[in-house]
Amino acid sequence: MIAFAPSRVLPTFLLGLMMVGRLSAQEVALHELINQHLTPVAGLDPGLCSDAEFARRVTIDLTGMPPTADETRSFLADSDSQKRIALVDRLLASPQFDRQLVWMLDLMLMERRAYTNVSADDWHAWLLKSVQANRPWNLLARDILLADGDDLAQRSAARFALDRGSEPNLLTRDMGRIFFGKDFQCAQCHDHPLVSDYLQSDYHGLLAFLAPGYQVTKSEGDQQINLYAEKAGTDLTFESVFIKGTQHRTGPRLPSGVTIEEPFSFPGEEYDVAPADGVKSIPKFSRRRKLAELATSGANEAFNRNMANRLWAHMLGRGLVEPLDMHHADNPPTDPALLELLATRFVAMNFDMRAFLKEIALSKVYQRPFDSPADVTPLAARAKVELDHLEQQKTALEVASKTSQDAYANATEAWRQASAEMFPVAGEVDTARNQYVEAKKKVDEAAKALADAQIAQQSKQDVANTVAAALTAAQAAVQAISEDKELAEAAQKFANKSDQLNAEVATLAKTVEEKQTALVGPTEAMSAQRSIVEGHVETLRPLTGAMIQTEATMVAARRQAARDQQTLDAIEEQVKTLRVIIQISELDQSVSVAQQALTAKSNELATLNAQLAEYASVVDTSEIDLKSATEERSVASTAATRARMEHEKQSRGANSIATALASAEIARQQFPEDAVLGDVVAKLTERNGTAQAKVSESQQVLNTAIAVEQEAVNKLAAMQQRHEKVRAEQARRQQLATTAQSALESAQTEVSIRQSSLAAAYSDVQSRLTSDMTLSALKPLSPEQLCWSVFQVTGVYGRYWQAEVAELDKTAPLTTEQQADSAAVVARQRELEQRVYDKLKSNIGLFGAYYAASAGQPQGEFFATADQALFAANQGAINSWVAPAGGNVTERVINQTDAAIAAEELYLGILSRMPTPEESTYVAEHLSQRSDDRSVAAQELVWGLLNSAEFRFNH
Amino acid sequence: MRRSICRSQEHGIARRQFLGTIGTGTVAYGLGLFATPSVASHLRSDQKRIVVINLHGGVSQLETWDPKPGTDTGGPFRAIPTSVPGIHICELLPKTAQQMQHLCLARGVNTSEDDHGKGAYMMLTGRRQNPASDFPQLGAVAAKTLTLEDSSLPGHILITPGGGGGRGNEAAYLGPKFSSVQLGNGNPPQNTTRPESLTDASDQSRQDVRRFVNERFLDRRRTAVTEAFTYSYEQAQQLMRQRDVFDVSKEPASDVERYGTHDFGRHCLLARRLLEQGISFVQLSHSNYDTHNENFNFHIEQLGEFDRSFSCFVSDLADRGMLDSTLIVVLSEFGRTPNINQYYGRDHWSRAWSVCLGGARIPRGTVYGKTNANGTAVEDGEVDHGKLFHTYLQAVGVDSHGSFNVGGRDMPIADPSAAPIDALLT
Repeated sequence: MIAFAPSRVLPTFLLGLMMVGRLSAQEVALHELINQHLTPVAGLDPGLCSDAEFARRVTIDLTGMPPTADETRSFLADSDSQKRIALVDRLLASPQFDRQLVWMLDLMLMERRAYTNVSADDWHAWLLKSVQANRPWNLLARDILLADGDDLAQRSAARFALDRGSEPNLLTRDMGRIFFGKDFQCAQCHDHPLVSDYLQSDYHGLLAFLAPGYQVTKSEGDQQINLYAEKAGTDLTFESVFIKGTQHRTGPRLPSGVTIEEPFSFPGEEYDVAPADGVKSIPKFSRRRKLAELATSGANEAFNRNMANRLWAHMLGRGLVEPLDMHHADNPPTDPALLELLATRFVAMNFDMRAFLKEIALSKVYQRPFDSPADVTPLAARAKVELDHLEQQKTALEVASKTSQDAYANATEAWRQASAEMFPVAGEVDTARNQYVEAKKKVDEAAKALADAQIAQQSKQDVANTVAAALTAAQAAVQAISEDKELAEAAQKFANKSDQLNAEVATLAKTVEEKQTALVGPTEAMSAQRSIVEGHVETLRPLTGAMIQTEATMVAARRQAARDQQTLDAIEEQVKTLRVIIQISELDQSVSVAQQALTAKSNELATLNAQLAEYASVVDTSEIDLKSATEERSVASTAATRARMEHEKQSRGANSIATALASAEIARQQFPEDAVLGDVVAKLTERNGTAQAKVSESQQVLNTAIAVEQEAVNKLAAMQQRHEKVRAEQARRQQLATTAQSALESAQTEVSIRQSSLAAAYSDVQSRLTSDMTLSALKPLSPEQLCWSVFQVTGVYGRYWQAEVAELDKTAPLTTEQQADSAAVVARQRELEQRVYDKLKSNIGLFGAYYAASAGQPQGEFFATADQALFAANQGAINSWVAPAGGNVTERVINQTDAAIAAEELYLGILSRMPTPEESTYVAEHLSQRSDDRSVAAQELVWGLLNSAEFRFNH
Repeated sequence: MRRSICRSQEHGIARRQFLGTIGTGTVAYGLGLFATPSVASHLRSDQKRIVVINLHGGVSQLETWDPKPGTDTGGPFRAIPTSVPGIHICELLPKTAQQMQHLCLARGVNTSEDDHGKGAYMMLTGRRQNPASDFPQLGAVAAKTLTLEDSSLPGHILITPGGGGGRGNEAAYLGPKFSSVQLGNGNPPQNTTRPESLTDASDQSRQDVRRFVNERFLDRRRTAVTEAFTYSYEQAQQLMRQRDVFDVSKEPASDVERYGTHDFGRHCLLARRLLEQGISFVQLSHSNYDTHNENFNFHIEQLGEFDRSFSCFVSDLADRGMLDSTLIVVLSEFGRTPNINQYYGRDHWSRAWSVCLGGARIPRGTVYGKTNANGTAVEDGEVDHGKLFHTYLQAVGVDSHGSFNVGGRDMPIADPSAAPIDALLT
């Protein structure tokens, strides 16, 4: 049994070891873990980007320029399923990657500030050396945080501080932003007005680390160099500009850390090397050293997260936290758990930037396509389910968040109280310390007086001794030659002088004694004061301890509160995305409904228009009838008028005859015998008969005409009546059609309103899907990348590279042995890169003048200005790079007779992809129309592609 | 065709049309429509502008706006009456005196900063320099607040006494988009002439290629950033077509003569031309007033140039009806000491000096603030750089208490601890 005892213990122990071993062996690769995060909402599967897109994207991100046409061609042709991994490995091992990382670090650290203390070449060389040695970020940061510029090998590291003039407030702001991802600028004078957890005490806590830093100018031969020296630190006191009168006090404290406890030093005892003109002081306790140690140990969350987020942003085009220097509770990461994972793993990888970038490059999220998903409406159902789920989660989290907020508020209160309790005691330490300084000054004065007196006594004593020796010698001489009077007189003079001197020495000795006595009081006072200081320091110590304890509680509570808040906020973002997706589906539906309504309205209008059109013939007939009735009536009326006139004429004739007859009859009766009269009467009677007959006849004609006219009038009236009805009917139909027309227009408006809501929702979801990294983001090329990319695709980079290869092959060819030695090959590649860089680097400034943000401002913000486009269009250099030369893309296009291949050269060479058929046709047409000036035409194509959005943005 | 995420064809077309319209619209105004009075009056009602004349080195208030003749500090010059009864200025500005009905003098300026660089920074940003932050200058703020987003002309012009031009560095966190376009000695902006080897047809042809290539890409993804990028090329093309806007030689010879043929005269005339063409902010300078030696001789010489050109400029703006919409600011980094030193010079002095204003909401023909009898202290109506900066902005209708949102951060437009001077605003 005894024999088993250890084995029972051992297996557990061994198992533990084995488990640890197995865990690390089987540790899931970071990119796999990343894949588990950032899963798109609502089951959306964006897939992966194409090979061509991947090659361009990753090559630019890791080397600062796109692949060459040949590289793209062979990557596309490669059938190996692991080729993306192989490409990432190849790029990370290239000297161009080192350069790219140097650029990234340079822009991040220095933001294009002027080179005043360290040259550009030295600075870049130092960064490059660090990158080539794969110096972990925390150590690189430590180099920078510690450097004072005195060690020439590390002088460049001091550029961060030196080229900021060693100004403590500027350094506080920039260290906060650049190393901790927190821009405390607005918290310098008061708690941040908008960011609840950027406190004035955070700013001053960091400032307390940096306030002792100062610039000292040291003479080195005939050169003067600036150093970033450090003094001994003190606590800082501050008050809010909004709440005057309440003083606060802080020692050095890192963002998200607690105040450091610093050994108390008595004035005059703080330094190994005390400050003086041109002297770099060295305090016994260096806050700077403490800052570097605390920040970079891996235990400072803000430091770890900051760089993980920045490297992520370099690859993905945006940080999980954006802006990169606004990490705070109210600005949630896209995925809080992922950021935590990245930060933790970055630390676990020993801050290896190269390895970390590799993991990001291999993750699916990095390889997401840039195209928007075609249609999100099918996701709505799933979105609803997820939404419900998240809403439930939210409710629970809101409770937790409230609790942690309360805990944070309480902890803050306790901390403020503990700080307030400390405040007067710390003040007493200060007062006692000042009194000690005063007491020490008195001691120093007394000691100085004593020393002076002692020196005076000593020098008098020295003279007295000399005289005494002379006296002795003289007396000896007197004894030897006793009769010599002169000698005796001389001896007497010595004796007198010696007595006088001895008396003087005695007086001085008395003074010394007095001064010694005078020193006793101040020394005792100082010693007493020293005890008083020590007493106060002792009193302060537990209070400080208590304050730090409450501070630790507060910091933990703050972290928890931030975490809960951010988790909640991140969920809220997802909720919003889901809502938009659901809204899109609804809007899509409502657009369909509106479109159906539109169709119905359109049909209705068509019918009504048809009916209206149909009725036109009725109207026409009616109009014709009316017209003919009108004409008939007019004819009948004319006829009637004519008949009436005829009848009247006949009547008038007949009446005349009748009147004549009657007169003739009267005459005949008076002259009965008159034959002539009789004859006249007979003839008139006959004529009268005829006339009467004609009257009667015309009367008849007239009657007929009147009847006809009446009939025509009646008919016309009927026609008019009928026509009015027809017109009314036509108007009614017209009205219906008009109404339908405006209904159609409203329906159209409705459709376009809904369509634009839908479009707005789509554009919202697009930007949301970009923010949550479902879609790859557009990354504007930095000025460095733009310059290098132009050089790459116009063949300039390749030409310079070949020239350097030829040069080195001639002047320093690699031996066969060296060619087999990978270290030698790497060294040669690095040398080539450096040579090409040195030849081309001046152009970066040319691009920078147009494309770079101002010095001292964050460099990541995109902007487009007309002066950039004018530079691209008219600046001599750009046009010269586009010109045909040395087998570059322009020349290949000019010389290529097959237009399809020319198009391929163009697109592969500049945009790293094959042209679409439409693009091939375009290129072919462009060239075929320009056989006279093919070179110019080719340059137009190259320039057009170079200045496209597709070239300007990595995607 | 692939369904784009923004699925609304109309949407895309509308945006293209929108940009197209801007294109033609701005081209039209570049062709000189604004030169016609009707359009100029339309401009007057809509658009506000600022012109800053920086008397570099620190002009003497005693030899300009606030003379103290007959006192121990007054120097040799007389004060003369102006077009406004009761206001007297130095006899070195006789022509400007006749324009006083348009101007306003702030005589109680106290900025407490006697360093050239710091003083200039304060006067142009309205804030004291702070190592941990940098603030945009008035020109950048004006470009951001007064210029239409789609304007093809730059909103911020700096006419420099010499130099080759390029982009200035005044915008701080507002970004280089709002930095000045510098016209070196009044020359047109850089890179606005096509290389000789390139024909117009070929240039148009390559622009067409660019547009063609963009079409496919932007169909896949169109964002504010891509819009800004593609628009910058159209803007550049328009700017080249509008190059005449910057060509002062297009102004009548009689005006050149009137303003003076020296650089400052030419620059003032160019400023008039630029403001007339609708540019929001123009800054020019006149050097050099840093008269530690021979203050009086220097001022006779310098102000002779200034008086001639500035008076023409003010009267032209008034005649053309542009004064209501244009704020004029004549400033320096500080004034000069009342005390006359042994070299007949005056030294740096910021405790009691003057700024000359005019136009926009500034009350015409007035004086605000007062210094004591020999000009050694402000007695009444004291103002500083912060208050003035607020006032400039309020004068052109910008709410100086507002904030810019910069990458999610609210940055107050002007120093939040200062406020505009109500008495300087009508």
